[in-house]
Amino acid sequence: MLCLNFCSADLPYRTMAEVADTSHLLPSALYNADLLGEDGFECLDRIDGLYHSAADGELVDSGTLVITGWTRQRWWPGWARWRWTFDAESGLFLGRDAAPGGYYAQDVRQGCGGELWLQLITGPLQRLGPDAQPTGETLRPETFGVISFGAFLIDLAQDWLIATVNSNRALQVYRLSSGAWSHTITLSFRPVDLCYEGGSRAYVLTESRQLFLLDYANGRIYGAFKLGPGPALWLGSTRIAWDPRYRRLLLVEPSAARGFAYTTRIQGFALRPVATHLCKPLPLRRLRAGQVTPVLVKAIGDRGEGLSGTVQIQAGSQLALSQQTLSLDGRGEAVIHVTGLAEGNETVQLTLEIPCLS
Amino acid sequence: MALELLAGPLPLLNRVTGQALGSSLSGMPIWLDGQGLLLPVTNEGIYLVQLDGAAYLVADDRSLVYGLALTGAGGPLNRGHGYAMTKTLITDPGEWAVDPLTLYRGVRLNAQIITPSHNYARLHDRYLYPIGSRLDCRPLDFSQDWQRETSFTGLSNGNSLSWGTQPTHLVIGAETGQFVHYDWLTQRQVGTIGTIGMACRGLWYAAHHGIYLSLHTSDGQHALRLWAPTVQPTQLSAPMLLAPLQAGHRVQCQTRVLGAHQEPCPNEVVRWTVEGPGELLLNATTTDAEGWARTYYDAPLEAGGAAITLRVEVAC
Repeated sequence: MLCLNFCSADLPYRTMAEVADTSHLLPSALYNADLLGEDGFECLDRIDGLYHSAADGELVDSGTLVITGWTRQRWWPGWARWRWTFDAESGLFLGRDAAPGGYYAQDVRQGCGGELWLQLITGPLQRLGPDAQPTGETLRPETFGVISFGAFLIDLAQDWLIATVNSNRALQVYRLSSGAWSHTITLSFRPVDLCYEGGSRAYVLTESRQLFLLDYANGRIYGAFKLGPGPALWLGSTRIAWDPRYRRLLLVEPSAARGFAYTTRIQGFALRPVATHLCKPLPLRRLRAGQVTPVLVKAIGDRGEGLSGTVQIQAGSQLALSQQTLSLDGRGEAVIHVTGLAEGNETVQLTLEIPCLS
Repeated sequence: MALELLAGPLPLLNRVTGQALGSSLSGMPIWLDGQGLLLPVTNEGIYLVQLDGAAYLVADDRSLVYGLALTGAGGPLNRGHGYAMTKTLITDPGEWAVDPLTLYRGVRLNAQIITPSHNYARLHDRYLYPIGSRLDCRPLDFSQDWQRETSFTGLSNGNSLSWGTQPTHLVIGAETGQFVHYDWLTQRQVGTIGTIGMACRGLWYAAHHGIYLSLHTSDGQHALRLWAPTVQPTQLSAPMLLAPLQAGHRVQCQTRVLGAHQEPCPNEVVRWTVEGPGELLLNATTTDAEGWARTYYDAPLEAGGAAITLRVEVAC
């Protein structure tokens, strides 16, 4: 489980004042009848983009974070595409406007250079300009020998396209300029989203909520983390982005709560796994009164990985401990030496201290 | 040589869901030193299981059959702890070097299937594969079929492999609860065949901590047991004097602590008590490498009279 260190404001609905231009249209049961009778007139349908906007590298502001997505509404045409903007430092909601693309726009994804790419439901990828309008630069899946892309990442500078092209537990890596397939990166779970981190590194989110940091140029996987507890994900359900200014991983996951309680927000995580389990202390040699017995102490994260930290140990009066504070090694393990002073049963209590900002 | 139980049974539970794991395995688990037991479960995926039974799903390829392997990267005397995985179905069958934690498949070591659903070892010059009472070997290039490399007298149903303490040692575990250390360089058995005294599904040696662990499945529930590398004391011989008893003299007395198979139990503390006249020099002594514990009895100056009774006990 990663360490949560940022949380934006909840993604807000419009007020009636903000929909004045459509208020002359009577809410109709023809569109999203399930919204009738609720205390509202629209609801979030799908998130289709999350990216950072650092104002061309200017450091005078704190940068913004942007969510794009769809809402359902009770008047024609029954849907709308929005772009919601948040302050990257405070997390405050800054405003909304229409998201780029029309009904055939499916997803907005950020390339390695910060540029945005619009994915059409018909397959092509359109590069967007600063005005959020297509620049005319288009990539077609058939150039890469596939019918369509799922999640994708475009690296213009290093000439790579990384994408999921089917439901396999794999990413396919292509040369952007020629469309030639380069290599496959296999994962132990199905990828649902990916984002650029730096160099030729990317984070890949999988349906099991596990994250992998990998180098897409050579296929090497540097490590794996887990986001934390929650439902399984699927392609298109959740988005991640890397915030280069604050060096944190961003996640937006539509709330599972029904109705009009808007609880969808951007979360930021420090790349520091948090231990979630302390193994039972296990003797490594036979326990005998009067003899010293090494006892294994281990802390692990929710992927089963060992995590370092500090463990406080307390024991009953019949056990003498070699020390009461243990530093766990890179495997999350440490060995304490326990001397049983007399025959009988005693309990060893472990307390783990986790350094974390939140 | 029957080992002494350290802990267990420790039930295997998915630490995230709190559910027990499925009882059907889609491959032989393998112990990753310092990390856990890699356990493939049919229709669920591969779990990484900690020594206390906490299990975490690290891959969800559910329809595959896995062979999990030890790979000895480097030369025979500087081998590293590598791991490989054989996959049988869907895409990319063959043998792959894997990162144990991410199960990332790196180098494709062999395009062919090695031994699905079994542990095997990929050494610098050959494959090794435990089956029954023997170890079979095969060239890395598959130019020959499997053939017997060695047989272990007294071992049956061998199925698990783990690294030994020495760079050239492997430990073969068996469903019967037996295990044996094997030097794959000299191709000789090391020491005698040991046992945990009960049947199991797999038995591995955790070299980093110097303990053994065994997997058991009962009523559809998996559990781990941890075993000390030392013999469980089961027999304590009656104390005896090493010289005739004489008034006013010191005489040495001894007892022996043995395991279930007459093997000596070293470093056990034996407590001595005497009833009647006279005194013991030491009331508690430790057994030597042969399981003998010794102390001295100082007989009273006055001969005759009350009976003298020596008692011994060992704490275990």
